[in-house]
Amino acid sequence: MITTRHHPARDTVLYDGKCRFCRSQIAILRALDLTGRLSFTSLHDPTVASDFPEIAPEDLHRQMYAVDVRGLARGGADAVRYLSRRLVLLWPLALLLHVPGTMPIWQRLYAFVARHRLKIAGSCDDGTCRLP
Amino acid sequence: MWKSVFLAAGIFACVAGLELLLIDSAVVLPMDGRGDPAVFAAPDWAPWSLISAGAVTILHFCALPTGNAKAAVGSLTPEPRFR
Repeated sequence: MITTRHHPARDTVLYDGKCRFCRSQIAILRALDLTGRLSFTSLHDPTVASDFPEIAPEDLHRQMYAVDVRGLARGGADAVRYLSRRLVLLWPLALLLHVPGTMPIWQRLYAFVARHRLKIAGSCDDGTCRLP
Repeated sequence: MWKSVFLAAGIFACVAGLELLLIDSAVVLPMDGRGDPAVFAAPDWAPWSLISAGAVTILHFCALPTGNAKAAVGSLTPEPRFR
């Protein structure tokens, strides 16, 4: 877990905005966030580097990060677990993710999906993800 | 008997997890009234882990065979119906 100096007003999710699969997952998270607890920022946004210099850019490319209002940044499966606690509709998933001793499984699964995320649904480098 | 132990442990873990979920911190006062009270604040993941472990234990309780079923499987010679 990384502590950042910048404390966001809301829990902030840092994701790869050029990855179609990541964008689809973020769209699902937005739909599940009924009370507006989260804000979502692409790691390609210039404010990310200035607000969260503690998180290395290569780490941001490797995994998603969730930064809470205290400035604690969790990455990868730990971030997913944190978000499952924050969103009421994800509480059934939280029970599964919190089974004691299963964290290494979730970390490996997350790392596998994150490594192959561009193969799953492609990237937006060609501009196809832009709004018209 | 073991089946009941698993059920009790599972329910206890679930209830303790729910309690931790509802409170931010607990203040433990010394028994003799002297000294500083200790403040206990559980980490964010602790209530969920307790509930989850309790649920797994209760599921294990459901999977255990009952005493009657075990006795029925274990007895090779059925008792005579009429003596």
